[in-house]
Amino acid sequence: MPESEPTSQRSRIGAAKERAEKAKTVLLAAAVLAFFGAMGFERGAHHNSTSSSNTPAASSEESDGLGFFDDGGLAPSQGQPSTTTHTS
Amino acid sequence: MGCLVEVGGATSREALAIERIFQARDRQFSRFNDNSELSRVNRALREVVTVSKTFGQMVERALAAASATGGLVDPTLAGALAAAGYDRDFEALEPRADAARAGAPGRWRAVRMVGRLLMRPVGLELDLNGVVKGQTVDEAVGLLSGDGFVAAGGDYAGRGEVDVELPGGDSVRVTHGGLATSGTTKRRWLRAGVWQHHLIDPRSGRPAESPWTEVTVSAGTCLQADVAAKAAFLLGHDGPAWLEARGLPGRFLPEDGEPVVNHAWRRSVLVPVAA
Repeated sequence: MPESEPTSQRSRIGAAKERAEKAKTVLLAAAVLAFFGAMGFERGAHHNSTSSSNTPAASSEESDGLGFFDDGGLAPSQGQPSTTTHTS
Repeated sequence: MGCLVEVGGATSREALAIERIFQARDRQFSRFNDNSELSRVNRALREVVTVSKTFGQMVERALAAASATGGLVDPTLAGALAAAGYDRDFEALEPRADAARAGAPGRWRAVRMVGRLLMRPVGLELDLNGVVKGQTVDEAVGLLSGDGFVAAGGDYAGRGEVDVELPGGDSVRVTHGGLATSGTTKRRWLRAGVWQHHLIDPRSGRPAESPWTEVTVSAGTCLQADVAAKAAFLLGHDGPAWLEARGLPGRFLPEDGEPVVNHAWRRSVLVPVAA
């Protein structure tokens, strides 16, 4: 019985290796799919943009910007300005 | 970036670090330096280009700005800027007799970032200058250990409360966040006797026509303020309401006449007069 232990351990290690290889294959396949998916999406976007190049910029599919902008803080000036925000 | 950088309240070590970050960004993102990463990307003859982490982050910010403004602030207008005549360092621009051309309209939806891979149609040139300037001002002010400010080409961010002069006179106290002004009084040039400027309307591919000469906006960061100011300028008469809907204070300077401010600006800045 004692000699059966290494055999069982070996088989468990072998099974674990097999599972790891399968997982790697799945991950690689997912990465390849994601890459080509993104490429296809980009090509679609390219096609759309050339076929409708004069479409007005604003459209309902875009965000309304409400999540992009945060509040700043302004108050009446109380002295000589230290700097300017003259145009870019 | 072709603008003066002003720093207040920095130690000499902090001022040096700020100078270096602006120089590095200029080397990386200049349209007019053949060795910049931006030029390399714009020249690339492949649809997929590997970019640096910083470059990829700037593209992602630019795409977020485009989405937030309905495509008004578009990072794909480098070709349109060149068609309008802005094809070299601003200081080197001279009046020319040939007329400006319209460039291609904005195509920001054709640009994607996946990890460090930038995907865009070959020949579609990026101009990230506005986003890079605003973001760099925000990062630079983060290098200050005490109260102070960083201002560059209309963009301002500060730590502590600072009074800032506005276009056309007046001044305002910025208590936190950023302040930015976009307009056409400085960065403009003549082509065939017609004034051109750098605020391109992505719908036409030409310099925008707007009732405003300068639009100033306050927001949580300098980058946000810069993006909002450009969008509000391009929206013309709809600009004040667009800012109001986002709770952003805006001040609009027309060609002639007094500044126009939206309600958010008035609530923040104007002192009520006792009856």
